[in-house]
Amino acid sequence: MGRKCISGLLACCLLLFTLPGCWDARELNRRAIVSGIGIDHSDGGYEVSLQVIIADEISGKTGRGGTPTSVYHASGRSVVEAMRNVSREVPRLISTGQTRLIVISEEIAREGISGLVDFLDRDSDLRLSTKLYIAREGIKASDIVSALTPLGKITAYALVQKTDLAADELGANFAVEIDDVLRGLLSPGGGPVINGLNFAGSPEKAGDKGSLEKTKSAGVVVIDDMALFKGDKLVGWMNREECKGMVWMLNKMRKTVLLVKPEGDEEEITLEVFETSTSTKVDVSNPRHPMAVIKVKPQMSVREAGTEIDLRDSLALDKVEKAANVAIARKLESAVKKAQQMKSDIFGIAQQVERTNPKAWKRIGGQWEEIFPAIDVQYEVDSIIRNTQMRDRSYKYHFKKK
Amino acid sequence: MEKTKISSLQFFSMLLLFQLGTALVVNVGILAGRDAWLAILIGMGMGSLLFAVYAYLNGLFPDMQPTAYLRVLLGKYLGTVIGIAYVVFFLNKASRDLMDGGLLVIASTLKETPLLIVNLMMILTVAYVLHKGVEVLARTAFIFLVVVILIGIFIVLLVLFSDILNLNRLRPVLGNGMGALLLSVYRQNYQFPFAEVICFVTVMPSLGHRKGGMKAGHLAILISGLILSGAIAATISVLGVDITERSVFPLLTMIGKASIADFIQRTDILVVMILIIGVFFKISVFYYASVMGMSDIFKIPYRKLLYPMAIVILLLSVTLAGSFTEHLAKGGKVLYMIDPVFFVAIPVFLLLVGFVHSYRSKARGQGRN
Repeated sequence: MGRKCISGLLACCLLLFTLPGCWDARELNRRAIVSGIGIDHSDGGYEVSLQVIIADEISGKTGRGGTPTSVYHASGRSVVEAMRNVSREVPRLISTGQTRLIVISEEIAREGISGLVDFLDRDSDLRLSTKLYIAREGIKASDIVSALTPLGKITAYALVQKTDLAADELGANFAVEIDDVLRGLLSPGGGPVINGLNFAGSPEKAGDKGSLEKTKSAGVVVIDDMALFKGDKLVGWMNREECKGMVWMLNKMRKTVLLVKPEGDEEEITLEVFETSTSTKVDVSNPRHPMAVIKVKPQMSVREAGTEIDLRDSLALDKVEKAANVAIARKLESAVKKAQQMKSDIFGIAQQVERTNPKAWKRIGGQWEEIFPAIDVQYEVDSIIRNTQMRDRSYKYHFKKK
Repeated sequence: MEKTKISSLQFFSMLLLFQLGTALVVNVGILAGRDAWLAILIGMGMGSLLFAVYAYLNGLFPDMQPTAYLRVLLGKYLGTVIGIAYVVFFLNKASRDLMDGGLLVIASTLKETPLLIVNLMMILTVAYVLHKGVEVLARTAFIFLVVVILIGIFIVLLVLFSDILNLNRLRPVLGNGMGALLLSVYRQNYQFPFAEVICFVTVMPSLGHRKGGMKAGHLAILISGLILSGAIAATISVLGVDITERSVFPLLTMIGKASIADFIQRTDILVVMILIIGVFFKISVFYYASVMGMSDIFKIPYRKLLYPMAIVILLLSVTLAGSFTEHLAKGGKVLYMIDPVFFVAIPVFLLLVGFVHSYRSKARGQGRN
């Protein structure tokens, strides 16, 4: 009897450990969900702006008619310290598990992002799939996370969607996530490329709820061109052409539009590239002076032809394809020239050499910074026009006959 | 104690889960950098050979605990001393695996829970199952194997369809030459997790069908080697070798990257589940091995030893190392400085003694006829 009593008591005591549930569980109503983080420069450290989701406003029923997100700021000497300092303002535990966007101001990027990347890499709440952005000069990262968006409720998530969509449809950028940046930082003689963000309209008004009450929003965050890094420092911005060329070089191009003027024609034809692949071959037989051959195979369809051209005629199509080849090669070349001018191997040609010829790489790897700008690059583009959409000739074809 | 019987399939599931256990989640074989997957395959081959050695020793004395045949082969005194050394060794491994599991759970999910509490929950469960006997453990293994296979299939599909694999990151193969690869195999790959199956020599006497069991054992080593090698290759081709090298739990980081259409994502909790299941079996088998050894050497009933040993393992797990860094550093050194003695030297020595022994007993048998 006594033994049974004691073992019963013991079992009850042990149950006490399991019954309270998870030791450090914090339910949703005790958490502040951060959707985006903006990092600006402040005296001797970083100023962190957290875009926190206000769930009551999103669900609709219990809303007070306020904004769907709210922004909290604090400064600190390191990112983590700044984040902890924010807790003076926020009544709930800050959780970054759902964060999908991190904006860094251009000022920091120019000085070097190495100081804050370790946090992004190490933190166990932040996923490596969080996307990184640079706020263009003159714009604070805090303005970006403070902005409201007409379509969708949470700016950070809307921006991430904009990035993916622009990458799919226009092909002048691609989503850059934390691990992409890390690999870029570590690539010899290279650096990452990161999407830029800019405002269409005024940054001040974009955070005003009034801006949502007009059809023409007073300020919208837009995806800008991409920033080119050398090591951990931003060294320049690419223009739209160079961006497209770079996306093509990296074989990340999915769709894009291309305006070409075939030989002997007066008006431009708009082509849509809907399928393309790029392959890079590097020849290091002369280690001081490597040669690279870039082969691109795009497939396109005709989207706009404001000319009298007869697209039933395969010779005419040949002309268009040739013009497209030249146009694409020019884009690629502009991107390569820019990278070589900045002496930053953003295309990972170094890794390409290491992969295909590890022995040669061991010899020349140390001097890659001097070798990269001197690489001779050849472009071989082989465009194919697959279809012409719903019509073969433009309506203008009939003017030609008369 | 009544005679327990374990089927070959149950033995297979135990071995498979045991090997996947911590090895799937912690940073294994990464000494070889990009060629980690190759190093694991070579380690698997060596592990398979060692398993054949252990199986042969069991074949000499099919119904005896290893501590018992140690005394037969090496004499009463030396046999007992080596038996006690093995008991301590298994105890140490059990508590290390308990700490591995506890630390991952803390690092990934229960951030503010004390290590002692997480470990306590784990060791209580293990002790309970072992109290029911090794047969129950084997049946549990089969049930959990099904769960792990389902999770595994889901993870494989997720990674394949989320378009994050870039096999180029595995190239160049053997960029640092064969030497670096073999050094890595020597330092860690054959011991962890393949040679660790040595603790199964205490389970082998309970096998219902010995020959089938050994075949199942070899198959389990082969399959676990392929899975581990595939997992590390996938992780490197998603993250690149640098991030993988610096990750404490690379698979967890890799799964964090996988998402299908922003809809199926954040599945890393599945990896934590696999780890908890695997760690459970790792601790169980090491724990069982040490308790069986001790009960055989000191002639104390198995069940009486079970709970006191649970407390020993629990306390060891929180005191062996003060930090995760220390834990890993010790583990890494032990792996090639002490483990080979237990995994290779003593068993191979026993193998030679066993040859002599079986030859002599055969000769004696013939003499009698």
